[in-house]
Amino acid sequence: MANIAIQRIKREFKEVVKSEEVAKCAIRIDLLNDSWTQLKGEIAGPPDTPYEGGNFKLEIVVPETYPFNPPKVRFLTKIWHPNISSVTGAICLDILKDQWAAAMTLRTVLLSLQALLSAAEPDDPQDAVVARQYKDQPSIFRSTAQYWTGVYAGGPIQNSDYDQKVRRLVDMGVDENTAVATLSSHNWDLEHATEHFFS
Amino acid sequence: MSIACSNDEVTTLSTFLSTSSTIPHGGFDYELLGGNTDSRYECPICLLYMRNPVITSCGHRFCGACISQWTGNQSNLNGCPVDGTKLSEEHIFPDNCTRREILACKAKCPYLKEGCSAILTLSEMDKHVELHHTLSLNSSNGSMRLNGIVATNGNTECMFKEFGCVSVFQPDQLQRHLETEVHHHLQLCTASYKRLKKILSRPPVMEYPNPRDLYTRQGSNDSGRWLLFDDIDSDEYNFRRQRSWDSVRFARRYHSRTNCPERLAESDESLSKHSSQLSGKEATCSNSCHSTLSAASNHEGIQLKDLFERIVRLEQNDREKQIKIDRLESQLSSVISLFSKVTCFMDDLTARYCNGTFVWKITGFQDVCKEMRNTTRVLTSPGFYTDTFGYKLCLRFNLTTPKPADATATTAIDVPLEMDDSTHVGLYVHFMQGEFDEAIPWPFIGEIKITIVHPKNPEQSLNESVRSKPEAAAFAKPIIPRNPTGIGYPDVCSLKKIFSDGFVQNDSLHFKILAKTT
Repeated sequence: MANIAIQRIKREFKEVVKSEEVAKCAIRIDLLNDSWTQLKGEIAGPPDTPYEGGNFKLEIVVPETYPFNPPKVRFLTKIWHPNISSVTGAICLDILKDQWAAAMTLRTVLLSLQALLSAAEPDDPQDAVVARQYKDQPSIFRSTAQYWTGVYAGGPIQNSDYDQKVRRLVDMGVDENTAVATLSSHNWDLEHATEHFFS
Repeated sequence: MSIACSNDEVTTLSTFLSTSSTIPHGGFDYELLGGNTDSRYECPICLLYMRNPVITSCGHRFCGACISQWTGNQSNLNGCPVDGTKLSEEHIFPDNCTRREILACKAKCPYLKEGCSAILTLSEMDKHVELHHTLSLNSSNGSMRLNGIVATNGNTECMFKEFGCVSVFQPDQLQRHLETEVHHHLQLCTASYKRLKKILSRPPVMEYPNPRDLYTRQGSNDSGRWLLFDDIDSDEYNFRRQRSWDSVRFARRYHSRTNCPERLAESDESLSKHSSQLSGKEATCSNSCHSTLSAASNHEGIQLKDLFERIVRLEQNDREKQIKIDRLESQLSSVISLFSKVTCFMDDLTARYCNGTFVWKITGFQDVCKEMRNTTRVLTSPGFYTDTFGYKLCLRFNLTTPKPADATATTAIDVPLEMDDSTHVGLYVHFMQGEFDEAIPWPFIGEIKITIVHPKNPEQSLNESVRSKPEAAAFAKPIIPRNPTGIGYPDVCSLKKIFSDGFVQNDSLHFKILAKTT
């Protein structure tokens, strides 16, 4: 790995550790190994969003050409969001692609992701199913996102109705994560979801 | 230290260097004094203090290498890394002002933990690190500067081989070896240094070689060869010299033990033969033959060396002496200044503790008077205090001419002092700024008595006394070091009276002032 990338990450690491966002537990970066290329990020769900109260873990891979190319970032925690794949956690965010600038840092990336959680861009979706739900049935989107936050990100809000539906599918032998995903995609219509599995 | 490389080694090294030159240098990765606090100097790309800073037309600064890599990297969108403004070559300018400011910042040497406490400006730091810390090389990333000595079998010998390190290892083990064997290498270096010192300090041999030695030397071929001064190079010199002298000593012993007359006769015979050879060659000044004469010239070489060493010693001595002298001179000057301070202090004490009675002695009175008559006509006594924390006063002694319009007054200068009737003595008391003026009442209230002392007959002394007048400016608190207004008598007596009535004894005159507050 080029020296400049390591130097940069080391310095950024210090910067993030000292920053006020860390003090407020809003963002966090951890090292995974000694190579400074594999990092683990964590962002708190922003207030007044369905993600409030959740903690979302991120995988950050720093390329050798950093900071001239963006870091590769993906959600490790499952999340229901139009711009984030509910299956892989891949993120659709311009600054992680063609709008990357060398002056950006891991800190600004994490803060941008936090901003993305509070302001989704359904017209530039990563997950088409989620984006459609976001546009057509905002209330279901909201409760689904809240439910996912509760199940996967340690959010505070429980939804016993959704829980029951999931348990029904699990009882039928469906994997729990698959059950949640399928029900969410079908707007929590148990019949449609069951059809999806057994047709 | 010699660095031997095989051909392969050379090519790899040159590839290393060429690749390392293409790797962009980011900013200065050093710990700055007081922390890297100034974000103005930080490159937003590498987050270090900028190396060769440039400024863009949108007003952002970067390391030259960082921004050129950014613009070269993003072929589609070359926006400014900070605000996205479109950038091309003509929008980027070198910022030499910032460059100078950054280069003047001071940083700690990155090898602080290894014991280097150097604090240098960034402009000096790169060179310092390269000069002093290149041993901590990293052969894996191409910053390799020192090489081991590559032996024929492909293994690497330690670069301290010349000092006695016999380690041999794979090329990639060199760094590890250098790191772990620091102490060993240091010991070897120290030992080498000691040996070298011993060689240099060995006193040269002064005795002139006697014919018997010459004979032995000639007989013992190579081992008896004298060394030229130029040969003095290394350990080898010492060793060879040792050997030659050993052989001489051996020969002496041999001759002293073998008391056999034939042998002696034989040696004496050859001795005389050789001495005749010597004289013959000296006479002809022929250098063609190398035997006794070459030995003699070699001896001159040694003598030369001896003289040279003596010069060095003397110069050293001279330098030490010079340093000693400098030190003594500086000590002397400090003692002198201390002495003058003490003198001042003593004068001050005298002035302070005279308790209002002050005697002013003017020595060399005749000369003083002549000088005064020609020039200033004024002489002022040192200051004194009425009591320890009282008023500070001084006496002004004037020469006055009561009738300046009179033609005789102008010629008074030519009249001898003893006869000078036209010049008169004026005496005034002036108040001076004292240390305790704030603590005492103003104006001064009291009596001041001025006396011109007659040394033989006190009754003949001239007395004048002044009582303070509160409204007179002379008794007010002085606002400059000496109150310009004094109080006294413009005409106490004539100069002639001073001289003729015997006031001057041993060419000195005494004034006595008695100041008392009431």
